[in-house]
Amino acid sequence: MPRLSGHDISVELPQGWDGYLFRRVPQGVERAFPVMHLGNFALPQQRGDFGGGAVEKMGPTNVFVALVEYEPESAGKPLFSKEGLGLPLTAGHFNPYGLQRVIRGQAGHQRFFNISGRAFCLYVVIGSIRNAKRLAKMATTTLESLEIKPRFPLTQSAGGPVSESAFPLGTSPKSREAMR
Amino acid sequence: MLALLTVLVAGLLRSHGAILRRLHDLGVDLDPDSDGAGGGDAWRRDLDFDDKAPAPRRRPVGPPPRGTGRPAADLSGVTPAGEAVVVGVRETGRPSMLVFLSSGCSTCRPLWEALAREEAKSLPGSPRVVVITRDPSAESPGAVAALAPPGVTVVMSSRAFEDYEVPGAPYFVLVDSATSSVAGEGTARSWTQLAELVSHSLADADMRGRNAAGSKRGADAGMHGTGSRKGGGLNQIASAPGPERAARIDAELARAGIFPGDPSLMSPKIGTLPPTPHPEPTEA
Repeated sequence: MPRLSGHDISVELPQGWDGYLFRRVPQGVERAFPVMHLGNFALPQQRGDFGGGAVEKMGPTNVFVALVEYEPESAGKPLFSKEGLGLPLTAGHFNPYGLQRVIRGQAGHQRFFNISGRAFCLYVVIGSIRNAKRLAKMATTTLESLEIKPRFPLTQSAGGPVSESAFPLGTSPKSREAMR
Repeated sequence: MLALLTVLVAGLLRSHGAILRRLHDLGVDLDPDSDGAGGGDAWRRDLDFDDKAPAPRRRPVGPPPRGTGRPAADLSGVTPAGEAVVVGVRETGRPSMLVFLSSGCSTCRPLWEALAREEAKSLPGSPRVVVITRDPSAESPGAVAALAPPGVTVVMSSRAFEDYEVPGAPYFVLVDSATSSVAGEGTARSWTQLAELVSHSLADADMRGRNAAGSKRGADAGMHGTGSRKGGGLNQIASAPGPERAARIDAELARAGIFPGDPSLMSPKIGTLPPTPHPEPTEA
């Protein structure tokens, strides 16, 4: 099965799935962080971070997954206090009103969490609430292969760049600054 | 010194003679006084999309190809913008038309332009159209991005060229989603030719299906709008395996004006392209 990788994020996709892993071009002083989109249907080229443009094309057997990363400083904030993806997903996780924009028949699930010192939002949309059990299992199977590694921004010091491997895995950004 | 020069000149003359013999074998006529009926002008004229045109003798490009019906592979690569991408073509419920193109191939240019005019939507069976070029190490992402029309899925993947044993650009592979296998492949110089190929093949396959079912031959198989059969599958365009398939590919490439030595059949050497940065993921 093909593997989608980049920005220290990787996932193995079932056959027939589309996947994109990208980072928006930052506007002005804002920072841009990785976004991953997965779907068992043809993902259109133009999509919003949370699937706008794609979810409208979903049918009753389709699943859309968005994984949106936030600034690393958010990892320690209450909104992102949950750890991990919260798998397995079940029918009970999905709500017809848990959507960025309500589309009849669809249901959504959203979870803010932290993993490997990074802050994310997982947003899953299923094409039909009637198929919630099967589609939730489909999303779970795909997400179980997701791997997220810590990311350490390289900084320049008097002795040269600090290698990523210099810090233990899971070390928070604040701790890394204190250790330099 | 004289002996060395003699050996060098003899070697050059020998290789030149071998090249001329090879060109002659391929039907290329270099005689400036010829009437153009031979190879010199023949391979420059526009060739009609004619099944009866004889295929030129040529050495097959690449390893002996397998027949149609072989397993399809999902596509994995990067977009011209540098995004990691996977495009699924297996068990998607819809056929996929994989269009292998190059930014530097003159024969590909009309096909890029046709994509911009959305002519791809006119293909029988309404397959999903995915354009594939070679990796950023062998293609200019900037040139591909400039050619790629908005809304068209483009994957830069040399691996896909290998997976589908593509002899060169332009080249088309139709994937049957229901069986997750190659339903047909070939080349064409225009989208109209490609649509005709798909249409004729669907009609032929439909007639084979009718004959196999023992039904009366249709007077006019015509073009089936959806091209779909049970399970959403499409029938084979080319069924000949092994050497017959190789000969058919050679014939279709020739009809498209692509002969041995055509630049589109070869990956450009690294170092001959303008330096293009690899679209590596950057730090957040």
